[in-house]
Amino acid sequence: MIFKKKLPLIVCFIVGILTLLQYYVPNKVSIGYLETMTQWDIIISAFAFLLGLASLFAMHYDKIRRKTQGWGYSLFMFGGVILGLTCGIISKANQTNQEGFITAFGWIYNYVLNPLQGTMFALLAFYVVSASFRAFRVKSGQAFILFLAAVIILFGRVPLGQLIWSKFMSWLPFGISEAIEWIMNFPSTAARRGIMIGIALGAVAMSLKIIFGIEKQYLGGKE
Amino acid sequence: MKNFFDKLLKLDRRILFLLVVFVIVFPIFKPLKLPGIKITDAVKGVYNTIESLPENSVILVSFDFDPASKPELYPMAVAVLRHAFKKNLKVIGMTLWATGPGIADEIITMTAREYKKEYGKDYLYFGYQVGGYAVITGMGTDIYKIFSKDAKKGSPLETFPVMQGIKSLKNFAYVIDFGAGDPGIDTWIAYGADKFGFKLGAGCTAVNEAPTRPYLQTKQLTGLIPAMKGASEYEILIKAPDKASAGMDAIGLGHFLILFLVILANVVLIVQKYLLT
Repeated sequence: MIFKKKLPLIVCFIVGILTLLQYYVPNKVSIGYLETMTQWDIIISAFAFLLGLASLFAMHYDKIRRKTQGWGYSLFMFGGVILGLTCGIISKANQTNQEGFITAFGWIYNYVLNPLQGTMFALLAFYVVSASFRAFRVKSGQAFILFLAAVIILFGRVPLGQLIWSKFMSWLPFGISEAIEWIMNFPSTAARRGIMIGIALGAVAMSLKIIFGIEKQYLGGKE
Repeated sequence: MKNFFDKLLKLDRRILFLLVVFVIVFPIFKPLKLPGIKITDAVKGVYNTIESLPENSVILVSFDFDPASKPELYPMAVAVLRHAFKKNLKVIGMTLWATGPGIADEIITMTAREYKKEYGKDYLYFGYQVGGYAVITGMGTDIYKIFSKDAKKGSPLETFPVMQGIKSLKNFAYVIDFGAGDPGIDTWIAYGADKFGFKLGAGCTAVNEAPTRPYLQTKQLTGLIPAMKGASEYEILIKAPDKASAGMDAIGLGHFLILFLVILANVVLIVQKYLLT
């Protein structure tokens, strides 16, 4: 009970309070403390990678063992990870060698990861167009304001729109760039700042709850 | 007529996809070279800061993105590095993303070669370090405890001439983050610039522009290069049009296609609702 519940709470409280105080006490001891904690943090992050990898392997091994639907993809996952790891270790994670030639790791990065991620992201363009045609419907006053802002931003963000605006809308007292700057700097920034303040306050409240042992979900279990 | 409008609203998505392919591919084969790009203050902020730095100042560039965001962030990173090398600034590169080292290495090596810069003397590549905010916090007090060796040669950092006078983030004349998510610009502001007090500029993807804008008003960022449009502005500023300027035609037509389809769908809806009932 002590090791499972009380000790983690005590460690969390001490480290939380010290780290909080460190921010406001800029002296040699506090900087030393920050440096040590930062290195611990980095080491723990590195181990988290290994933990993630182990968890991924366990999950996919289970899929293959039970031959669940799509278990063949799990084999690809193992193949990909093993190949990537082997090439990374052999090439010492360098893309090119001392002579400037591409390494096996560089080849995987440039000709496998690069096009795969690029393709996945590029698909978004198609879905955005399809979704905007089907879902962007002006059915209320608020939707109309959103529509108007979207039209101005889409129109003015590109040279062609700026050109058309300057040709046909020059009678207006402001340019399209000014309109966009206004939308981005005032309504958009105000809304975003509100969200950011809300998130920050929530994070502060949650952090205090964790430091003082009120929130214990991170320990696992029901309490 | 009603039948036609109904069909139009339920247009097969494959037709829409074909339209997208056309508007993106067409300007790649036949560039339209559309004029009219206006330089914004946000982009000028990064440009002017670099322009104001004296020769041999050391800047840090963090490439916090992966191949998925390459089309948006790669051109601006190349443009900024070209500007820095042209100004004879010393550049140190790094990344906080596990999938970022390949791109970071490529950009810094390519631009350095263009200006015949020497590795270790004019530029250096720290590589990747796991930890996100912890890396920034650690670099704020002692860089050598976070990156003991460079990523290309594996030599201790203190052996490189470019590291002379560099101990922590405060020693950099300017820090620029090209960020596509987390860890990224927010992390550099909260755990770096705000805490340790150094000048920070940034480049972001289009979807991240709105969330990053508040930092410009509060001057937590000296400037912001948003997406490919920002990159094309930067290319114009350094008088070296490249990939971003070329890509603006495709983006322009793409935007117009979305605009046209949204307006079309809403006009059809209004006609259906008020004229055909």
